[in-house]
Amino acid sequence: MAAITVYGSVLSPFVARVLLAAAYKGLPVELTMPKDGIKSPEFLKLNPFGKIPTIKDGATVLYESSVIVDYLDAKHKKKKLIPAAAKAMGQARLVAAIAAEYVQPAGLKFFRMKRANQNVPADVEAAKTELAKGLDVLEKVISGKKYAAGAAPTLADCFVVPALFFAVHAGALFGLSDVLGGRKKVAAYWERMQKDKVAGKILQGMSDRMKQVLAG
Amino acid sequence: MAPPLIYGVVASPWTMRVVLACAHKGVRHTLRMPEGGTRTPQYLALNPLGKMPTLVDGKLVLFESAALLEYLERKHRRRPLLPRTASAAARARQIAAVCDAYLQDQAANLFRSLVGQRPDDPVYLDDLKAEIGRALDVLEGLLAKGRFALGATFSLADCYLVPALYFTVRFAPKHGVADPLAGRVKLQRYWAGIRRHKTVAPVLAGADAFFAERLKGTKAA
Repeated sequence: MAAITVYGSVLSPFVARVLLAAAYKGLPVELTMPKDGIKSPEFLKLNPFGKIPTIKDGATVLYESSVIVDYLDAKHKKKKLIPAAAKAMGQARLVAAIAAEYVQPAGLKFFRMKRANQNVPADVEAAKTELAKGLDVLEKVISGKKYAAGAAPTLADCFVVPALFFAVHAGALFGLSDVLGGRKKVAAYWERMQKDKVAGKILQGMSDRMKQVLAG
Repeated sequence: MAPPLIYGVVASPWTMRVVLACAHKGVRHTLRMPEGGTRTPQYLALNPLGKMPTLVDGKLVLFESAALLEYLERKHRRRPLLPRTASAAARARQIAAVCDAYLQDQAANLFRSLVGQRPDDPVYLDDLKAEIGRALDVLEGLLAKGRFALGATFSLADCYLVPALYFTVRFAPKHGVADPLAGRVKLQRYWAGIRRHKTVAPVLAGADAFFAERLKGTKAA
């Protein structure tokens, strides 16, 4: 099986979703940044928005992480990440949506503020409030089992893991030492995933890369 | 079994996606606003974000329109919204994702700006119009030839594209863009056809009625 080309960097949480999906499914990927950058004419031909991740799988070119994860799972039937039963699938997608819409954006705000060297107290407080609210909702919808939507990995894990990475690591940059505190299921999940064979490796890659980026 | 209950209003683009899917698949449902609004303890117990749509189907409670659409598609197999092959399904989702990430919220902001929920200064609006223009250009490239977004059959892509274009076409003229689809031949042809389609037309009529009432007496009427 030829490796799927994934354009992007592991530190992008959107890219990490795709890497997690491929890793859980056992699909080989080749992760690379576009040669002349994401705004080069060559790359804009693949993705007119000039964003990552974008994938090339033979003649198929796709962008938007959720589209890519769905595609990989539809194409490769082994180790399905999307449950077959409607109810379980709806639940997995709900957990993924909460992570994507309400947890990750707040976590990313911390990272972007740090990179831009901004520290406006009102903005920091707003991001903290937003993150707390997102995590409260996540605590309500996440399963109490090994993975985010049950006993086996699903697309929910592909979305929750990068979102929590930014909540925890970027939150820490602004003094949030126990960002998951009081949310028992989410906190236990985060502990497990750092040791998870698949997710742990990708989280390590994200963490290493974040240190490099912040060190300039 | 009782038909599923959908909390929402058809003029909300996120609700409209789900209503279009139900209309296409012939899924009977009840659509209504939560009693007392979306911030009551009762409603927040169903959807802690206090947003719409929320679906109650027997014991299952779900929110986030994308999750609802996929659930309905999986539960009701007739008249599928997603093609069978991985690459064709991905094309439907690609169009849906572009609408979701780059057009829907922007187009909804055209409306919000009219009712004071967003700025109405030229700097904000020019940026908004430029963003909408870029998203429309990308969609023009992704759209298939034919009656529907993927060509011959109604799909998930139409559930996203119809509300996004509805907001664009209905509210851009209020901000001085008379023909927001101008120069995009595929999108123009698509919109001219789909807005009259038997599945879509009654849904849009419902939204029209809502906005006529909502904007009555304002300069945006």
